Amino acid sequence: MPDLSPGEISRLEDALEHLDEFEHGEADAPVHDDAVAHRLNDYRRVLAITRVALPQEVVDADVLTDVLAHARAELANEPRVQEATSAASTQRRSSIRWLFPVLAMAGATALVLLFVFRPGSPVQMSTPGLAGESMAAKADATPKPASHQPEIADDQDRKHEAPKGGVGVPAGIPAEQKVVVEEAAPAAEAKAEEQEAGANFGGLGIDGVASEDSDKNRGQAAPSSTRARRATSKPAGDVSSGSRTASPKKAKTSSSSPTGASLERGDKLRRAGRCAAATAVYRDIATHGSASQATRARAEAGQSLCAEKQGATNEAARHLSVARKLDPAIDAWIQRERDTSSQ
Amino acid sequence: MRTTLELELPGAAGLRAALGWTHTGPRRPMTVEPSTLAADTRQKDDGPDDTELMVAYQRGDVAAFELLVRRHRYGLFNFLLRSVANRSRAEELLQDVFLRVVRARKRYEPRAKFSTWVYTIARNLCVDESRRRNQRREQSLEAPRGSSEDSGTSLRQRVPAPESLGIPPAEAEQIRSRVAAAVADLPSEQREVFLLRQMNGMSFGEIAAIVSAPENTVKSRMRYALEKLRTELADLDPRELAASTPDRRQHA
Repeated sequence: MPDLSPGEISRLEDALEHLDEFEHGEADAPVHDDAVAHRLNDYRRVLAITRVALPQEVVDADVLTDVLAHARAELANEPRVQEATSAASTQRRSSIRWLFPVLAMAGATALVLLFVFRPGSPVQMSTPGLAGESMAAKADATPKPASHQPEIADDQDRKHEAPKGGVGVPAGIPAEQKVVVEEAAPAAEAKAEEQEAGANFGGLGIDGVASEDSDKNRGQAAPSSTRARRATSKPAGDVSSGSRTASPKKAKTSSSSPTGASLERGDKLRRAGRCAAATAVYRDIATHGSASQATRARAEAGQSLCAEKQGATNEAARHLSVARKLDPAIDAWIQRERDTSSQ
Repeated sequence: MRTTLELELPGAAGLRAALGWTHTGPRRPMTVEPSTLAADTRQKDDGPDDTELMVAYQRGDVAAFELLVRRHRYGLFNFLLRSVANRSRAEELLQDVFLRVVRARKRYEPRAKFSTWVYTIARNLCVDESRRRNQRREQSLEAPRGSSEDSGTSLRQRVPAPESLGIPPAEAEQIRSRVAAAVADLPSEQREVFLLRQMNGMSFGEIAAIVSAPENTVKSRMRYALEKLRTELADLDPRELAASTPDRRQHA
């Protein structure tokens, strides 16, 4: 048979796609020239021979048993790892997801707390109770020269006191003070002390008038102190000057704070033996709502020491108990005060 | 053209050794009715297609993998059997094909048909097998026998034509061996195209994707293969051959 032309070969190859479809020469089979048709018939014969001689053979089922078992084993091991890793990653993602908002909220809360409760913030200065403290602070916690005025006044008062019992011996205790006094003091001196304490530390009160009265009681002995009081005393409602004494509030008592100054005043009165006045000062601090816990503890402890000095053991024990509740470490301060007074 | 997928995978022998598998020896050939094969290889008409099954297996559905094995095991086995002309070796290669599917499960991407992918694996394994045989210089159909026998003659040449011997139908087995030898004797490029077309019924376009050659090239290879077989088997009559094999049924 002569070789096919390139065109015939091309048509022959194109016809291979549907060779088996027209194996038996169906009517709708494509028409080819004789050479191509004859060759296609030869090809069909070959395909038929190979189909008969090479049937599809079956592979034994056990040939792939191990392969299937291997596939199952791989999947059995993999989900646990995937689940563990996915669970771990999910847990890590969830923890991270919650971490940032929590940190942000914590930071915002801290900022708010710092802003609200920072020392000397307007929130503190606007509270009514602080007005009295501010007034007391004006009287006591002002610049050095002014701060010495009360001391000078005290000294001068002491000079005016009748020399009986020495310094520190308490005078008569007014009825409102629930303390039993062993040694009596001149009633006038006690009253003077009360007036002085009330004028300076009466909370809402009386400023210039009381100061003036106390000044009158003292006569001209302390003009500078009077002037200092007048200069520093202000109406109760005036809290604008509070800014003068405004200072950062500290957790511990400090002379820079109104209550701290009052506390020091009380301590000095107590050490000087003027327990009645000191007790009044301490009582005022202890009952002051804005005073810190440590300050109130000191005030209670001061009252306890005063009562102890005056022999009022029950009263002393009561104040000591309150002080310890407010500040469990107050005993150390009490012991120091006792040691100091015993020297 | 080899796929990078196969190049990354370990050798077939290494896979079987790692799994502790041993081959149990040659088995008796078994044939199957074409209807069974057809039922076994149904895809889209009954159930999900191969790509869906492979994706399901990728997600952990081992039943999907088992269905893929059932669908393609016969076609792959026959392709491998006719390519390497050794049943036991064909079974080993079949295991290797599916092992590579298992190992490549996570990296599978449905860019092409699953059959294209899996037959590419099989085809590459056959190429490797052919190279190993050439390196070992195994006896081929063209290799001459020892001196005591007819030297310079091939096995095919020594197998007489049925007509010359008046072979009864009972001797059809010998004819089948001749046909099988003729197919095995084809060049590897022509043989793989011929087998994929004839044994697996693939289109020339899919065959082109498997062998990584243009479709026209694939058609040419098919023509060359048919030409060679036409020459080798010119004396055979398919009707006589079919008549001599009453247990076998022709393909539809």
